[in-house]
Formats: sequence, C-alpha cells, structure tokens
Amino acid sequence: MYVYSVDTDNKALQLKYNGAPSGEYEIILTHDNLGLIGTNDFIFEARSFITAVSANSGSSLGGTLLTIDGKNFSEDPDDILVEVDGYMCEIVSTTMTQINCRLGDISSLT
Amino acid sequence: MSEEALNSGSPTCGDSAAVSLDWTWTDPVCEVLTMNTEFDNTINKYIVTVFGTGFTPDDLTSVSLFIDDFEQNTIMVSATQAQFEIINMLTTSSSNVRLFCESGLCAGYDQFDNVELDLVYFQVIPEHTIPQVDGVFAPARRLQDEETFFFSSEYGTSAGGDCYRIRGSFGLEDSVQLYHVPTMQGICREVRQQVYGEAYCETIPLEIASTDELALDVNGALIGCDDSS
Repeated sequence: MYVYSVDTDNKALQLKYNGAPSGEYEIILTHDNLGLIGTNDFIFEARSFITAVSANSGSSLGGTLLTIDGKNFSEDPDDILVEVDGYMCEIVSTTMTQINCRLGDISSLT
Repeated sequence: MSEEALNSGSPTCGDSAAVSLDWTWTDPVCEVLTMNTEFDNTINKYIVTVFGTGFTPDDLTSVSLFIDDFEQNTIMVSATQAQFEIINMLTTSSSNVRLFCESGLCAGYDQFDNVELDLVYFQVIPEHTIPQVDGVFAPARRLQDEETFFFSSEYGTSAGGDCYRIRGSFGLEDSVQLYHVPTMQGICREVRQQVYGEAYCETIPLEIASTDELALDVNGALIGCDDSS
C-alpha cells in the first residue's frame, strides 16, 4: 500500500494498493520518524464477488467456454485460477468484472 | 469421471452464495464426421469445411475451429456443415486441430487432427515505391554521398537492401526464402515474419529484370512463378 493523499484538516490518509487475493489483512501503520503508530483495528478486507456464471454444464470432452461475471477481479490472468470439478479452466480474458475461461481437453487427461 | 456427474461447488470469491456453482457434465452436443481443406482462389484463402451434426444454423459464434491454438474465422454454419477461413497457423500443416460448439469440444474432433496446406499461391509486393528520374532510380533511404543506385525494374535496387512483402500461406515457424529462378539463388539476405501469411524480404545485391521469374521456397519446397501473382 502507498499513501495516495493526506488530509491534514481531518487527520485522514487515503491509501491505494495494487490488488490482493480475497481475505482480511491487518494494516500496520508506521511513521518515518516516529516509528510504529499502531495496529489496533486496522483491518482491510479485499473481496471479489461472483454475480453470475454463464454455463452450468458442458461436454464431457471438455472445451466449454465459461463466462464468470462479478466484481473486483484481477485483470492479470496469472492471478486468476478457475477449476471446474477439479479440471483447470484456462483463462481466455479477464477484466475487473468478467472472466472468460475455457476448459481443456478432458479426454486427454483421463 | 462419469457423464452427468454433478459437482457441487462452493464459492471461493466473496459472498457469492446466491450464484449456483453446480456443474453438470453432458454428452457432446456436436460431432465431426469429415473435414477437408481447399484453396479458394477468389479470395486467396484456404477454407476448412467441417461436416458433422449438432451445429446451430446461421450462428457464426456457435462453432469455433482452433488450429495451433489460433481461432480461425467462421464464415458459414448450417446444421450439418461449418466453414472456416484459415487466418493463422504456425506452419503449413498442423495436428493441433480442435472444433468447439457451445457445449464444448465436438465428438470425433480428434479423428481429424491434421490440416495440411499445399501452397498454391504467393504474391510479392514491393514495399517501397521509388520515383523514376530519367531512368535512374534513387531511393532516398539508401542514398549516400556520390552514390547512385540503378534499378533493373521499377522496384528495388541492384545494390540490394530493398524490402519486398511476400504474401502466401506460410506460418510463423515456416522457413521462407524468395528465389531468383535464372540464377537459382535466394535473394533475401533477411526474412522477417511477424504474422501468418506475410513475410518481409530484404534483398541481396542482385540485378533482377522485371521479366525474371521468382519462386517462393517454404521449408525447402519451391513454388513456381506460375503460381504467383
């Protein structure tokens, strides 16, 4: 995280971060000169949400194209892991609100 | 894994409990029966025709052909037939061929896992148009002090270094060379390929008459001038 802006009147900091896996994170606040300011109650929650999955069935050979709608997804395909019944779904594209992935050739795996 | 197996998934991203993540495996909806490849000389493209069942007529998005993991251009779909224009391959043949319909891979796709192209055309296009001045052509980009370049045709320079764009049905991993038939030597000292079907040839010093035949060599197989345009 880095400091995005400082509001001295209201004694407030605005922080930004580059994304993280879903979960809760404890934030430790330090000052360059004063050292540790505090950790109590500084909890940051990162969450992604799924609002719809387009296909709920697919060929037993694999190859189904899935569309997953939601929010707070990573735009980096390397951050996304989608499995269907234990089979990897290869990321075709990903945005903040939609992931497209295609199941591999399952017949070659079984 | 059994067909019709049911997977009761659980959300792992945030509060998505209202979204069903159940999954059902089904029999393949589409099937490939035969597949063939032909060259369409009206558009200078190879066309793959797939005969099968389970296609959605007139829906070009309902069926996809992938060759070497490149999606090809779907141009026609009927209930029993689909046609694709080849727009990308790594080489002139591939065993990595997959056909998808909306439910996934089509049954039998792996029985027709080879697409081969017999190269039937190529086209050489000069990349630099050189202005003519009293029969002497002076390309500004190569002109140096006291140096004059003479051209045997309206394209190129006998000093070499000119650039031709070669269009044909070769892939990024094919070895491409342009041959000067009268002397049977390759005229490209460097060939750059960036996309399927297109290469750039930087020439060696050689005088090429406008009537001289050129031939294209793809992976050691020469394509004669009769097939060029």
